[in-house]
Amino acid sequence: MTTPTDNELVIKESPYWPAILLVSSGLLLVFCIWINSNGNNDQCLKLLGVIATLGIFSILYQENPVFRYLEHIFIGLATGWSVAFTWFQLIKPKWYDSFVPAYWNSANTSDKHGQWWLIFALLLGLLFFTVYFQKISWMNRFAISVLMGWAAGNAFQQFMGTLAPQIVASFRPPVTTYEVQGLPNGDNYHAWNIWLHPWTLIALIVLVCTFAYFFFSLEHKYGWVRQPAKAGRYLLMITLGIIFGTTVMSRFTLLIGRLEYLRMAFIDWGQMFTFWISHLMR
Amino acid sequence: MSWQALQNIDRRWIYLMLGVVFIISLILGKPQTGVILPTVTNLYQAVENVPMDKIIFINTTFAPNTLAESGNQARAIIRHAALNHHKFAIMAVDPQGANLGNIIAQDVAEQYGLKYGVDWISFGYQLPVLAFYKSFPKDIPGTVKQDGLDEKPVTVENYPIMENLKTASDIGLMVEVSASSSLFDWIQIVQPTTSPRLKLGYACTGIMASEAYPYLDSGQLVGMMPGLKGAADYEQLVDEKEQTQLNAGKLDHPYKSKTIQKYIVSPARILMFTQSNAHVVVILLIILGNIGYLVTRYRAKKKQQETAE
Repeated sequence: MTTPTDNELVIKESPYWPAILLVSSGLLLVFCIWINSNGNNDQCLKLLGVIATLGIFSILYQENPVFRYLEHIFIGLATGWSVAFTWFQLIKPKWYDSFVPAYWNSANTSDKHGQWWLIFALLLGLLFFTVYFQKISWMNRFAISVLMGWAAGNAFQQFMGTLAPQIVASFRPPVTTYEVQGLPNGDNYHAWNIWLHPWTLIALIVLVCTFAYFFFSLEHKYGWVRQPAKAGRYLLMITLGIIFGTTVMSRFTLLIGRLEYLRMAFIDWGQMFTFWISHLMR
Repeated sequence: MSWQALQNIDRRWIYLMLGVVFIISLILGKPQTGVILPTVTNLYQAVENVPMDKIIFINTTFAPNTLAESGNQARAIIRHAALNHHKFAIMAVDPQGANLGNIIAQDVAEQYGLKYGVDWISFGYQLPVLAFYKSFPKDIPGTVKQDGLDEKPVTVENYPIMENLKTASDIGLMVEVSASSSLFDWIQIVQPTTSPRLKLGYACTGIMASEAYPYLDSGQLVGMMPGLKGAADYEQLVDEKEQTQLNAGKLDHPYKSKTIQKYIVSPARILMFTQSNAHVVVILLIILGNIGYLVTRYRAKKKQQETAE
């Protein structure tokens, strides 16, 4: 196997591919309806899962229509599913069922019906679409201002909730004359009535060095700024390396999960096959 | 030998090599026993320290694609709760996660003989909107309203487990098993409004671990299970505890020693063994690539010197 060039990766596609894929989509749709109406559909679902997994894995060899077909099916399914999901899990139970009178919808299970004032939520939402009509486009600012106000208030609360404890934790003293509760394991050594917190000191140094790297108000020509900034750069590189390492590790796990699924599916089918063969041989 | 070739190995050979290593390792299926991460030990201890009258909340906010990581993490923590006879509740802010959480919890409940509604409960899928996070800590039954195990939901207040679960102060520990950023909603919105502060544990995918470490140091998280490694470590601790209880004859009947596995087919420790082998291959490839680079550079320099002379 040699290294493929860009030209080699562009495979010659048959002109019949669109027709083949269209027919496959039809068959897939019929198959899915059938397995949905059939109670015992575990093996069919497993078969679909195996075909889809192997088809998606085919990109590892080279670009091909089967991969693209499955990719589009995946995106289409996800989009269709989210539309249905938004209606059935969000809009219908939270807004529609409460808004419409009980006699409009016999399946209405909401304990409160006919809350006519919920129409304002719809009107506010519709204001977003006025952007498409030049004469009344200014009205969408009402909706945007409500959204921005809500987001700003929420962001402030979230900022305080998230970062306030971290700011406090970032500036813990590295040496104390008293024991500090709540420090991570190993971050507390006691000698001569002095408690040393080495990891706190390291965290403080890393914090200052990283800040120095992003401190652009002062030119980095003085040693006392340049050296910590340089150290900060290396520390950032180490951090990014760690993030990259965990990313690779996580991606491997996704692959292992799929391979394990394939392995178990084939073991299952192998056992079924052996069972039927032994049954026929009797 | 052309050392340059080591830097231009066709990616398909690398995929093939990794695929072979993965499959062989999975077939061998050796459970890995490794050095346990301190963050995992902290989470384990946090579960151990939960008072018996408090509930452990387990949020299973993940999809099938991260079952190998998140599924195993959820199962390990549920097993731990079951072994300790802690009552627990399952919930998700992801619809697929709600379903997967139910499946895993049902498996473990069947294995350890737990009763639904008495020892554990499922709150199913909850919409991750601000209103939910605001009202949840003050009134859990009023916010959740119905359970989420079956297609026909039942009012949660009908279950005995709800007698001791009214507000966030009844939650001994909340563990967020997540493949998304759902943890931050609990940290940002719920945790500051609870007194005493709601204890949060985190079981995340490997990719998300690095951004969660600052929350451990600040005490916003009591412990963390990062990725498959975290799941394997936690599973090791739970396996050891289970073995101790089995040896002492403490496990109640009807205990089934063989783990029931419907969707998560392999425990985390076996998958971690596979991943460790893949890491060895990747490290070898990095070393080979670097050798190729260094030798090529050395030869080019030598050639340049010879030409200059």
